[in-house]
Amino acid sequence: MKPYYGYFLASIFLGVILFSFNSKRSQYGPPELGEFEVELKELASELHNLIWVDARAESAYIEKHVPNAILLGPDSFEQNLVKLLEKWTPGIRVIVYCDSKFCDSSHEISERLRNEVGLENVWVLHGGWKSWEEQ
Amino acid sequence: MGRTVIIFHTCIRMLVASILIFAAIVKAVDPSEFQQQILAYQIVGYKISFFASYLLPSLEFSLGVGLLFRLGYRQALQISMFLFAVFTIALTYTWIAGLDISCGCFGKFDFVSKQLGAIIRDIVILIFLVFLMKSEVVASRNIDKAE
Repeated sequence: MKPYYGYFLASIFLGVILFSFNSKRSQYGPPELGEFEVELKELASELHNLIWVDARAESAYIEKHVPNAILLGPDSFEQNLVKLLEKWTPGIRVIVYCDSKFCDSSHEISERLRNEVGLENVWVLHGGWKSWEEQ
Repeated sequence: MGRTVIIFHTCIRMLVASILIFAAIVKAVDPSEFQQQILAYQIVGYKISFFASYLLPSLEFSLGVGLLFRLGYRQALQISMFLFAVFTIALTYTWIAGLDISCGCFGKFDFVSKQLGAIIRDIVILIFLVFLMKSEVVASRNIDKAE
């Protein structure tokens, strides 16, 4: 039995050292909202006056998505951008979402919409599809 | 065991040990990123992911060193098998659930971006570990018989 204890004690010891001497520490609680992120509760009053952009995989989009959302993932950006531009009017808010708060595709797409297409008022839904489902 | 089998056995042991040590170092460099990758699995919450982001790389490193230098060798193999079985199950869950996430196994240095590739890789490592365990059991039986 002793080697088992050895491994677990060594891991705890190394873990404490890792925590003590690392500047990129993980967090014990949830993070605050990032730049260009918006929470679903903030959008409650204007849910039907938004353009929803789904940046997840096509299979996930086909299965379920926010009503009237446009599929615009990294793989379908060029192909489906026209659909977004057809819907877009100046001043309208564009909300991009992916799976959860930890996926990157929503941030990637929102950046491309701002920088490459020149759209303003493009936001990322904090918590992504998961937060929509939990509402 | 024949000479070829011993060489093959040693190579596999070194390979698995190197994989564990490399994975541990990559994760230890940036625990915050590793925590995000754990959370993306949507299996555990913040508190567990916080502890896992420090303990998992540490455990992987300990196991890698254990396999490399044959320290508590059999136990290192057993814990590693358990660990890779858990990784495989977790990855399979995300794959079935259709979650669009990266494996997180080797941080930014992971050349396998899709879950299916990572599942296959974990299963191959699991097979290597079973092979090492089986060889160890056979070797200890032979020693017992010789005595």
